[in-house]
Formats: sequence, structure tokens, C-alpha cells
Amino acid sequence: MNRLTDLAKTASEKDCEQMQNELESFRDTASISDDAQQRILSSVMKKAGFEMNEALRMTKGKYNRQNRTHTEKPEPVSVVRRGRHALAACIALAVIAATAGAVIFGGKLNIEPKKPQPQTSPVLSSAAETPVSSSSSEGGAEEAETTVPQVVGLPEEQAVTELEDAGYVLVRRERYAYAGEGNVSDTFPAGGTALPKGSEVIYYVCKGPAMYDDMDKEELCKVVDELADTVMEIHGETIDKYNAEHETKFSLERADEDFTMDYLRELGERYEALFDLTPEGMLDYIEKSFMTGTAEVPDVMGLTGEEAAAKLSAAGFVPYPDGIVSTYVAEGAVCWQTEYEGDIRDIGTPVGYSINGVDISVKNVPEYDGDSYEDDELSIKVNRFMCDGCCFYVGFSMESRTETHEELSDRYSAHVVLADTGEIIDEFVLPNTKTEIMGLNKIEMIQGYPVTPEMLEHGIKIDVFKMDEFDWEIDKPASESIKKGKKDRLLSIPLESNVPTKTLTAENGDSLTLSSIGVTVHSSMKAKELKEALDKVPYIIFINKDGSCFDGYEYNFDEGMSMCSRRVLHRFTDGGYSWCFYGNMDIENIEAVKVNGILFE
Amino acid sequence: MEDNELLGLLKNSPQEGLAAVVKQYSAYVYKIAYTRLGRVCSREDIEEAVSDIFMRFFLASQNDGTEIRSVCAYLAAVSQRHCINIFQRQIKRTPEVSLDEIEDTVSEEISAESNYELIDAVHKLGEPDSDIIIRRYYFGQPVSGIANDLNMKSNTVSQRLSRGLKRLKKILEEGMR
Repeated sequence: MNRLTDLAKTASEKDCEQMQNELESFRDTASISDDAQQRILSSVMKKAGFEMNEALRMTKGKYNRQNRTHTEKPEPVSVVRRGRHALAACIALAVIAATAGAVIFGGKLNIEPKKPQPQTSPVLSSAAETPVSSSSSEGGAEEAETTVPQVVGLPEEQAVTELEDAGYVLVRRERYAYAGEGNVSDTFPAGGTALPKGSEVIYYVCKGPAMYDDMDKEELCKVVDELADTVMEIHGETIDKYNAEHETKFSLERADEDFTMDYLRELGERYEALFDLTPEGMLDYIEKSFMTGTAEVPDVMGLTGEEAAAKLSAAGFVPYPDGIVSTYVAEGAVCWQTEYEGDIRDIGTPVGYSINGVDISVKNVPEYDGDSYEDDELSIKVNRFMCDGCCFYVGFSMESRTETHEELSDRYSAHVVLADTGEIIDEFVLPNTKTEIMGLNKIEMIQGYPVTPEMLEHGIKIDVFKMDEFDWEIDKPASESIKKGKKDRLLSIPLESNVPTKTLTAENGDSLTLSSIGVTVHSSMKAKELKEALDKVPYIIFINKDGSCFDGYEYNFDEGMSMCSRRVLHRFTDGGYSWCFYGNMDIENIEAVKVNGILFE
Repeated sequence: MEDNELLGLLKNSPQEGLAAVVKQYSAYVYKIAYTRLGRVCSREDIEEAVSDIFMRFFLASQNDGTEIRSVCAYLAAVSQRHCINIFQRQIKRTPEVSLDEIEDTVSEEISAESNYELIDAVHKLGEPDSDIIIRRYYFGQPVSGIANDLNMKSNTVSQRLSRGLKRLKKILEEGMR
């Protein structure tokens, strides 16, 4: 359905003619207020260089196709408190998200907190503002045209000077925004718009943070106190303890003029690690908890994290990054959103988005076109063998003429072998993971396991064995049980790969393979030594040619696998260890890598 | 006023013609723009976008090389591109596309990959499904908006969308055989 979703972008005039009936239907349901129509006409005529004489003015209601007025803005969102429960629920969700992220990604989410967007937030829009048409220039076709200066963010005095110097008549308005109190938050027309001198320009002066707009201050204080209360409960603190530590700086009982932005900022900063939101993000979060109503969840798939956050925020939701996964979308693009596009959710609902962390372009591995083994008793067909850049998946279909499916189970094993070296890097019993029992003597299964750079570097093959004896010992690793069985190789499936790699070496002789998806360290260091080293210096640093560095590694030895912004997987063998760091590597640009204090260059 | 009258007026008396087009189509263009930009732009910005769209239409109408067969269709094509451009700019997705580029895109009729078959397939769904699909996917109208315009329940619209898409897929697949 991509063609359908792209229709708006790709439809030509001819296509539109083909859709004439639908367009007319859409038009039939359109209407506009007379004032808006007048403003548009005035603007168009000015842009075209025509005078706006009386003959061109609208007759009220004449051209509205229906007798209803088009709603020009969304239904105004009444600013009422949804109460502690709603707020607590939001907090809980955020905490759950943050906690889940902490578990999955080693306690550190790679978050790009969004900035609040007063222009796009439903509650902050200036629906009630009435723009002034440039009446003073209506008869002045000969007046010189210039552009409205960009004054947003400037102090009022400076902005006024610039606007007056440009020759405009100014109309001052105040509103709540995020531009900083006393600064100009917006102009109409916007900066950069061509407008004749002498025209009226409205400039809006920020009179405070947008969240106070039409909000009962006392009510706000209560809610913020509740927020603090809830946050601290989650954090295992009490208000009294908090107040004792901070003297009276943050009295949580007060609901008066002492309530300031600083309060929220410090609150946000204090719990930033918990929420992974900046103070501005906290404000946005709190602000939206005041809103009522619902909104449609937008589609953010394929956008960057920043774009997704902006779009979700603009739609009235509280966006939060929900980790990094690997799928078939562009690297860095959103590949998952926690609420589906088109769903109707309460405004302020946290909506998570996951970013694709591995460039799937490394999937130079073609989908396997099948291989099989067959004898008088057994047939094995490999019906799927693919790599998505993160995992290999092998699909087996086994059918026996002599064994039931129960007997089929546990009688076969497979080795994942590095094609170049013959080193066994994984082994498993068939069937192992996702299994479908198709009949008494037929089993289909899919085996998946993480791909490492070394696998892509050397290529792998899957060897399937039949075991004469097999005694599954539930308490022991499968590999030990497999070793007991006598194995006859039935099938060997090769897998080629041509991922670009680069090898770096350390003074002690260790080597490091840098591929486009990650790093593999081949070290003579024994597991025990490695553990000690990792405990002491748990980091990896990439050094670029220009001298800049980056890292992204947090290690948790107890977990056995550690992930943060990029996936990390390590594996110990008797001869040393292989250590893989997943991520899309610009290997041309990386000059050296420092792992646990050892420099590879 | 019929399209041929409007286009004739635009040629003979551009000022009156432009005013007539704005009067007749401002609600339509505003609705297209609002549907696309309502969540990311202020009302002032949307009105600015609408006036830009009319300007583009006007410039095209004064260009002898541009053939406008349907004002409604031409305005839809220009509106969508302009609004999508603004939307993408708003969310910092893509660099700004110049006016010329947009005009070129429209006039060149990017139907190198024609949507004819797709739209034809949509029409085969019949009313109101074709209307719902075009509103949802061409105009980007939310389900609730479609339901309101067509006097239906949101659930009904969602169901019709879902079923319509399945039927559309089937029609397209059959068409490829």
C-alpha cells in the first residue's frame, strides 16, 4: 500500500483529474469563515500586486458552499486538571519505559529529549488571536515592498526597533510562550514574509512560560506538588526528607507566588535520569497532563528520532525513545511505535518510538534458496536462511518415514561453524526454538541467533548432525548433551558474506576486526583476566581520523550481555575471547579503537 | 462559475479572475491545507500557505505553456505538494523545495510512474469506499474527520477503510496478472 500512502506526493494534475469526483466531494464538505476568506483574498491580491478595491471584497457567506463554518482550529482544549491518577499513570508509564530501557540498554537510554513546541501544542496555539489584515497598505500598490525582519527571540525593545526600521506599523500582543519572558515569541506575518512597508505587523511578547496560559496557578501548584510527591515515592524518598535536604527551598506545600520555573527545572534536573526528560520535557509532560481530549496517533515510522518526537509532541502526545532494535528500515529511523498510527488516545499519552540501530544494508547475505538432505528414512529441507543484519534465521523442515515427531525431536543437532576456520561458534539441538509440529512425523522450525561481525567476515555454515544417542540433561547446556551423541553429518549449508572489514592490532598481539556493523576483538586474554579488566576499565572508545572520539559502551558483567545505544555481545572461549560491539561503523573514518585500555591501531 | 468561465476570466482580466478563484475555492484549499498542516502550523501559517497556493495557481494560469483542465484538480495537486513541503519543513525532515521545483514537478506530471491504475482500482471499490480512501490517503484526513464529513461513525469508517484496503489490494493483484 506504499503507492497509496505516497499518492499525495506523487499524484499529478492528471491523476487529480481522475479523482475529480472525490475531490469535489471533499470540496463539498469544506467551508471557511468570511473573515478568513477575506484575509486570504487580501493576501493573495497583495502578492499578485493587485489593489484590493471594494469590488473584490467578499459578500458574507456568499461563497461558502454550505451553511456551516469550517472549524479553523481544533476544538479548544479546556485546561483542566485530570487529577493525580492520570498524572501518576503517565509517570508510571514513563518510569516503566525508563526502567525497561535501563534493563535492556544497560541503564542508559540514548535519548534526545525534545524541546517543547509552543507553536504546535494544541493548548498553546493562538486560536483566539485575530490577525490584522494590512489595511494600511490596501491602497498603496506603489509602496515599496520589503520583508518582515526575523525578530523572534529578541528582547521586545530590540525587536520593535528592527520592525519599525523596516517601515512597519506595529501591533503589540502578549501571550504565553517559551521565548523567554519579555522576548518576542512570534510575529504575524512571520519573519521573512514579503510585505509592503506601512503594513501592520503583529508581534507577540512572551509574558511567561506557556504552561501558565489560562491556568489556575494554585491548581497548577497542587498538581506539581503531586508530581513531585509521586516521583519521590517512586524514588524512595519522602517529601519531608527532600525538604530537609533542601531546607525550605522547595516547599511542596505552598501554592503561592513563590512557585517558579526554577522549581520545575530543578525538579526536572533532579529526576532527569529517571525520566530521561530535560526540564523542558518535564514541563511539556506536565503541561499535557492538564489537557483533556483525545488525538489521533500520527505515523512516525521511518522518521528520525527527532522528527518523531516533534511530530508526536505536535499531535499532543508525550514522546519517549523506546530503545533501539534492528529491522528493515533505514538506520537511525523509527521502526516501531508503541501506539499505532490512527489510534485515538488521550492527549498526553506517552508514545514510545524505537530506532533502528543497525544498518541492514549489511545484509549482503542473500536469502537462502534451499538445500536438502534425503535418505530412505529422513528428509531435511532448509527452506529459509536469511540474515536481517542482526540475526540469522534458519528454517528447517524435517520429515521422517520411520520416526514420530517426538522421536524426531532431540535426535538431531546443528553446528554453526565459521566457514573459513571451521571453528564451531554455536550448536543447538533440533528442534530448538520456534517449532511447529506439522504431523506425526513432520516438524518445521526456525532457529535464530545473533549475527556477529566475525560471522559476516568469515561467513558461516550450518552443519546438521544425526545423533545415535542423545540424553537430554535439562540442567546442563545443550552443547554438553550434544557432545555425548555420536554425530553423522547430514547437511552442510554455506553462507557467504562480503561485509567490508578492517583489522587493527594492539601491542600485545591482540587483534581487532572492525566491520561495518561492529567490532570483534580477538584476544589471548583469558576469561578471568578479561573479567578483571572489564571490571576495571569497562569502556570502548573509537578514535576518528580527525582526532574526535566516541563511545557508547556500558558494561554489566553479571548480565553476560550488555547493550546500550549499540548492542554488545561477548563470548569466551578457552583461547581467549571474542567481543562484539554492534553498531553501524564508519570504518573508513575510524583510525583506532581503545578497548578496556588497550589501543588497537 | 464554471471552470472554463473562471479560466477565461483569468486570461482576460487576471485581477477579477484571481479574486473569483479565491472566492470560489478558498474553503476547499483551506481545508486541504488545514488537513495537512493543522497540527504543525498556526492558523496564520495555514492562511499564508493557502494564499501561496493561490499565487502558484495564478502564476501557472498566466503561463501559456500550462494547460489547466480542472481548477479543482490543479489546485489539489499544487496544494498537496505545497503543504507536504511545509509539513516536512516543520518537522525538519527535508530541505525546502523551491517554488519552481514544485511547479516543475506538477507540470511535468510525474506520472512517469502513473497512478492511473491505482486510482482506477480505488474507483472500482465504489462509493463511499473510494471517497473514504482518497480522503484518508490523498488528503490525509483523519478517520474522525472523514466520519464527520460523511455522517458516519468512526468505527464504520475504520472498518470500511480496512476492508477497502484489502479489496483494493486484491483488485491490484488481479490487475497485475
